[in-house]
Amino acid sequence: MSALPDELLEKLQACDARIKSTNPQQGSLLHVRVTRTALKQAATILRDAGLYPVFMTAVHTDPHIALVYQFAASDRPLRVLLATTADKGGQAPSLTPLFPGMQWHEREARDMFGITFEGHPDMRPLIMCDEDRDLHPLLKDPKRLKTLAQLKGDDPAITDGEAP
Amino acid sequence: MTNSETEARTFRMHVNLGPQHPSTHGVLHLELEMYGEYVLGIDPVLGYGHRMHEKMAETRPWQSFFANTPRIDYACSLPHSHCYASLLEQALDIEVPARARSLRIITSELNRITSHLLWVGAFLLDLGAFTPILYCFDDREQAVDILEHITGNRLTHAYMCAGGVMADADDAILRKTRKFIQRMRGRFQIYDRLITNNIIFVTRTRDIGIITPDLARAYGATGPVLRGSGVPCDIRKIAPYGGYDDFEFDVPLGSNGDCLDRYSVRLQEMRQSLNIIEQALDQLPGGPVRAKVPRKFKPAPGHYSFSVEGARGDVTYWAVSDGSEIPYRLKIRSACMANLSLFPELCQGMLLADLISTLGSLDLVIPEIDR
Amino acid sequence: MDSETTIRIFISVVLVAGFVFANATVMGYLERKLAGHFQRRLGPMEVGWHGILQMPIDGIKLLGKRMLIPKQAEGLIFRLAPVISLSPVLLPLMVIPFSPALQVVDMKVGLIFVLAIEAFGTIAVFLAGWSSNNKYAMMGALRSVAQNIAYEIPILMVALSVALLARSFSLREIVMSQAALWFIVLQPLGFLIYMVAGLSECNRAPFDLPEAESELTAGYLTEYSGIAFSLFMIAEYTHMFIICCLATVLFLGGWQGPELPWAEYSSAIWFLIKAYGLMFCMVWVRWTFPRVRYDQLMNFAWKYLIPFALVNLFVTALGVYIYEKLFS
Repeated sequence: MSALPDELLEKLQACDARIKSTNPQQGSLLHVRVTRTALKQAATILRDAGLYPVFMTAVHTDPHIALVYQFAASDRPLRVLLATTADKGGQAPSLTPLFPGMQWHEREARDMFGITFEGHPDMRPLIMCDEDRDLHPLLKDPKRLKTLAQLKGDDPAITDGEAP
Repeated sequence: MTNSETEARTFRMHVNLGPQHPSTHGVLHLELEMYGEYVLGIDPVLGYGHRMHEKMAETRPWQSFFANTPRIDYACSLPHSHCYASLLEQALDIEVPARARSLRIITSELNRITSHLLWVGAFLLDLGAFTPILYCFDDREQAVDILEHITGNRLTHAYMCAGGVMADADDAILRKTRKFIQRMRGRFQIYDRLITNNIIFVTRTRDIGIITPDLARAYGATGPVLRGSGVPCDIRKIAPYGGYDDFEFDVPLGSNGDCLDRYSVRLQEMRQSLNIIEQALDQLPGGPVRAKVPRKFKPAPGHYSFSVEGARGDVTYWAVSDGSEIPYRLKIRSACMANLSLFPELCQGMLLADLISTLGSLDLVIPEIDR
Repeated sequence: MDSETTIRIFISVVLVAGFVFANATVMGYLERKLAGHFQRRLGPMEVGWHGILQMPIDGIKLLGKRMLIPKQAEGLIFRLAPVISLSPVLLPLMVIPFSPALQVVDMKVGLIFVLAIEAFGTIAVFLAGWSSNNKYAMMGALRSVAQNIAYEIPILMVALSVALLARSFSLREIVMSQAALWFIVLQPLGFLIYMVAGLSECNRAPFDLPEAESELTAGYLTEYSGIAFSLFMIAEYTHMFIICCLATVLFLGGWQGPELPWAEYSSAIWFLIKAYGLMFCMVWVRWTFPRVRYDQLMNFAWKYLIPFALVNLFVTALGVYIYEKLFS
């Protein structure tokens, strides 16, 4: 049921994605960067390949917040890291209709970063209490904020501050 | 008001289960919509144990976070430390000495046994049997004594560090560990007689809370929850780390996905952990237990990820470095969060007693969800 | 009724009341010690030799605690419920024959009297749960009412079978008709049904759903503290004692045993040994098994115990009829 990394690579190329494949200690790890509009298409490919959602999180970068999703296969050492950015107003499409497990991760991302997800059924705070719902603790101090370029290292899947 | 409206208003109840409750392990608050004894809807309210570990990671050096990792999932803390240590070693290209790898595996598997023993006792306590928890704690005490001797701590073992482990284990404690293995192997028949073959226990757990593999995968549930449904997903076998591929062990599976299967899987996993520890003791090499590491950790800019098999499932740490000695972002993926997120869909229309059974069988440590 | 009988009954009532509190003390201590030993630990050890003064000290402590009454609770019923729970466990002790001379009143319908008064205990549990104005307490009370009603029926049927064998409802005569053979030999199924249903009547594990700690945080007792709590506990232990005494009378031959000096009074020792032996088994069962789920509990009563008790009754009646025909 789970597609081999090469098959997945082919399908993901169709989403206009930038992909880097590495082989760390733990099998193959695909770093995939997609535009926000292609996010759902890429996620559908991964769901049909039988991967389960590991996490969804965000990183506060300059000028847009980066979104990161990780998926894993349950029968082979394959992990896929899907990266994109939120738009200027902090909006992003929700993957909850595709992966019900993303619901709580997206609620937590809203608590920590203030990102709103279009299409999410229930955007209440998950971890923050009601008084602190707009605290967004993981947003960075402007003095400490970095751009994507400063964080990319040698990973071509992360590009220089492009707003896709 | 019509008859059915009056009836609905009289019989529907909104009940709060927790946050202070003997059965919700940790501070879990479930808001239940109940019709008599049946649960119509569940809304978990989280955040009572939120301590902001991810923010703490952004304000202190990389190696200081080892003080936080045991406290995230305190019942089985060594896999979390193992994950973070392996992440740093991967980022800084540090090689761990062979003896340290074996000691890491021995202590992690002992920790898995203590975590599962705690779960067995607490699960039976939820079902109303007051005695098994004391038998489990008796066995657990032996294992915790060994861990205390090796790591210095009974629960939140701050034992791993980037490059190896903090201290060596002497021969006396390793002999004691062998004795513990022999003793523990003989104890399983007590658990079988008292618990597994008890008809009341079986009727309360068989065909209760059935989780299908598709449901589990859709929510990202892993660990015994997924293996109880028959999916052979164990990171120690699929993507071995830290030397696990040197040892032979089986991955127990359930067939039905009910509470009884999850119980059996955890009981069998304890047996397999004993096998792993025995093999590790037989093959234990000599040598140093800590590699030379730089004083300040400054991983190259980029992002790093590592995953281990905790007692409750897939534990993944994902870190972003900007080249300085303080992390830019650290994401901790907790296994319990995915396991609990399938609970509202699973428990529509269940009896309250079955809800308690199923909640117990998920093996939750709520502070791991809240971090 | 002359003054001698009045004085005798008055003294007996006082003695029985005293015995109830003494029994609660002894049973409380035994339960904690036995629970400890079943669980590989020692139980109370600090207060007195091996903790023997634990229960009196606990009683004094509970007397000194303030009884907290929730603001929204029904004040009068809330305060009355513990008292109502104690009354139906004092009365049956008046008709139970501890030995040939130690019985306060011997009623011709003693068996029916005991079973009828015991049923009142259900009302006290329900009032306690309902007046607490607490959802958990009310759920515990509802469960308890349904459970008690269901499990009374097998007890009644088994008691009727025994009354058929003894040809009488008087407890004294039931004991005396076991001089040749104890009824447990003739009614083994009846004995089992009675003990299981009796466990459920007392709300003891594995049928302790009304006070299920891990689900409802003490159920109908959630809001009670201090002296009210201890009254409920005393009522529960005494109810257990009455169930076991009735079992001894109906199945185990009451006071009959090897001859002792002053047999008229001292054969109470055999009675108490048998009753406390059954209580020990009840404690043993409590600390061994998990709790039965609510619908499984009701299924068990209506689909298994009651049909079996009916069959038992029918077979007993048939047996008695044939016996009469053959030997009279």
